[in-house]
Amino acid sequence: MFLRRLRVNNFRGFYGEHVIEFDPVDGKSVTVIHGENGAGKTNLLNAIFWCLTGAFTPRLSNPELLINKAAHDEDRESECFVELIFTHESHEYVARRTVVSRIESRFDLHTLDGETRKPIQKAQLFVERIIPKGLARWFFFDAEAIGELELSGSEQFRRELRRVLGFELVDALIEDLEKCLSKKQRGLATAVNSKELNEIQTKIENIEFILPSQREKEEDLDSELKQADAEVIKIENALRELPQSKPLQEQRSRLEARRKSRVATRKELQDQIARFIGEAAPAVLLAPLAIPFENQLYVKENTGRLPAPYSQQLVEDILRESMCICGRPVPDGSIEADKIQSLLRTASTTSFNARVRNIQYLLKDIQNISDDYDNSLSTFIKKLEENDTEIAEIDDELKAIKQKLAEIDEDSIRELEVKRTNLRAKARDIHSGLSILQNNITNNEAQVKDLRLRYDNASKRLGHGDAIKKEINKIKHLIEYITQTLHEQETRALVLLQVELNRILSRYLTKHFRAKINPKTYEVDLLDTQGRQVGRSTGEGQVLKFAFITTVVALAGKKTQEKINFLADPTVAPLVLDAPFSALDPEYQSSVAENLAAQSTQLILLLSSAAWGDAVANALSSRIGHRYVLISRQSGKRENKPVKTMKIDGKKINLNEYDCERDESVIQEL
Amino acid sequence: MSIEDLFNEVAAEIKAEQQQSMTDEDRKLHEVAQKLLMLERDMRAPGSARSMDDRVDRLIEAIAKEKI
Repeated sequence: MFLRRLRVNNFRGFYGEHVIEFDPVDGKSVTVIHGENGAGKTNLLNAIFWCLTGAFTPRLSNPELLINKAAHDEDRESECFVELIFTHESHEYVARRTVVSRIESRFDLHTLDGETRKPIQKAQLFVERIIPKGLARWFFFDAEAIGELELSGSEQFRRELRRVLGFELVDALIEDLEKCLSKKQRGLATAVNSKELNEIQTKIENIEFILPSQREKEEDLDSELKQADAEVIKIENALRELPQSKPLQEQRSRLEARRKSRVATRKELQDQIARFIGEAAPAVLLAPLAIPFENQLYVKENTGRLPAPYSQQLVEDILRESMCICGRPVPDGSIEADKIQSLLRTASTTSFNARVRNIQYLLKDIQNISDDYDNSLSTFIKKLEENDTEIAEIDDELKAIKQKLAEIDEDSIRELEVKRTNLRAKARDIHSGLSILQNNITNNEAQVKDLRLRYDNASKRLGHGDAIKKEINKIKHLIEYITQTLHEQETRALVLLQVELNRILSRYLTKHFRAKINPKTYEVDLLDTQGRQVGRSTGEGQVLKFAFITTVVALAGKKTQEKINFLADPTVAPLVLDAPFSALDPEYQSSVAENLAAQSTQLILLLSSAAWGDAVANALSSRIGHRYVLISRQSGKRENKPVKTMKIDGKKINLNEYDCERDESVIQEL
Repeated sequence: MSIEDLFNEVAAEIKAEQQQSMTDEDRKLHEVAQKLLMLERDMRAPGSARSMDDRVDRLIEAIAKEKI
């Protein structure tokens, strides 16, 4: 999707009709719209968002008041609409959303062919094919709320990201292909009238019937958990605002971050121990047998087959030179020569010697692993115990903090604490329910895999049903190929994401921080030089979030998708950002601006004059196509009120005017 | 290294990989996989979504036509 033109009519603060062009000028595709607070930047972002989705960004105030007040006062029949012209896959479209009543709107979509317009049925669904519901927030962004972007790897985050990159459709296809497989397998079982196949297939189908609802429930619980966590954070922020609870809450947040990291370490150590036991167990079991076996090797060596007393090479040398090592001649065809020739049957060879050596090394390894097993295991267990002790200490400290907070004689704090405790308990319950469910899902998936294997073995024993078996094999082959390709593409996309994030961080941050993406959860961590986590809410964390958004959008964009060779098309849409730099430290603003412009296919920035410093101007000036300014007009007298100005290309522009006909926002092209 | 360079490098790598290591069988599988994905996308498109049974039947039909 590429936006070409926006037309707003009596929308929010905009009286009458206003047009903004987004078409690139000489290949420059960045559009900048300047405006002070209250001039209508967020309204413009929401005009685009609402037109396409029918929804608003979360921080828009009074979303029910869409019709411009002055227009409505003058003419109660005045029309309020937003119209967007955009191109998608070489076709041009015009989308228009019109206010019908206080809570209703009408959405129309037409294809544009010159002057001809053809209506599209089910217009909203058509737009959702281009930008799926739920993904719009990745492209039309209230950047003041960037702090709320969670990079902590929730299921919703992972799902949305995979959807942006087009991976979810591949998942859906695999799911359907597995159903195709089941259908064919059932067909085979019926055709050959096999009781065993029928039974196995019934079990597979029973599990397959439960799995989707289990996965759905998993999604629901995950979002419930996210909501409960968000509410806890809100309460903790409130506690941080109150002077009496502030230091205690800050200490608690630090401790909880430490606890989270220790809990992750515990999981890691438990995995390491399980891996170690799995790898070392065979050696420990075999060690008692290894010593006698090794002894046996040396016993056999003395009987002649093993390395000494002679080798194939020695026998061949004697025969070639027709001379024994004792100096006697051994003529070709003589009895001696035949006798020596017969020795080749028992002579050792180089490869035979190598095989024996390998067995000896293997036996040695078995012995070493077995000898070292107790020590290594106790080292792991010691680390685990130390980690658990630290968790217990942190828990004690957390308890003490809770106690201190309870002792503060302040109703508001007490109330917040009670709410927090209840929410934490609720989150714990959800979490434990989620863990059980995830465990069940994993078990069911493993069971299906196992049953499929049993089905395969049973069907191989059948002497007929070849035509259906052939079809089954084709489907299996495809599932295998698509699963493998998806895995490769996902890995590649994550590697590219991480490389790019680190390139941006190393180029723009003054500190030596690096980003790490967990391939399982998609959690993005910012780490310092010692590998410790750096808060995502720090100035550097905000840079990371911008870098993440732009990299994902760039990766999904047409200009980079062939580098991944995606099986399915990712979502391609412009990046529209309201107040992108207000949440950033000034030292990072120009670099983020430069990166945003370089990475996105189309960029629309809504900026205040404060965010338009020399550094940002320098970073963007060579990429700007269209530029607009929002002027805030007031009907009231100026009196002592200030007139705000900003300088653009040396020209002074007034950003607000007084003594006007009405209160309104006006869009002016520069 | 700029991101463009990185992307170019990866693109070249993928192309080389595809040319050198993709067997005829893989090429065919890739082609069929993409056809099935397009079919799946159309069958799940908002407004014209098909039922699961319908999707399965059409996929089976499409696979039967392909020689893999």
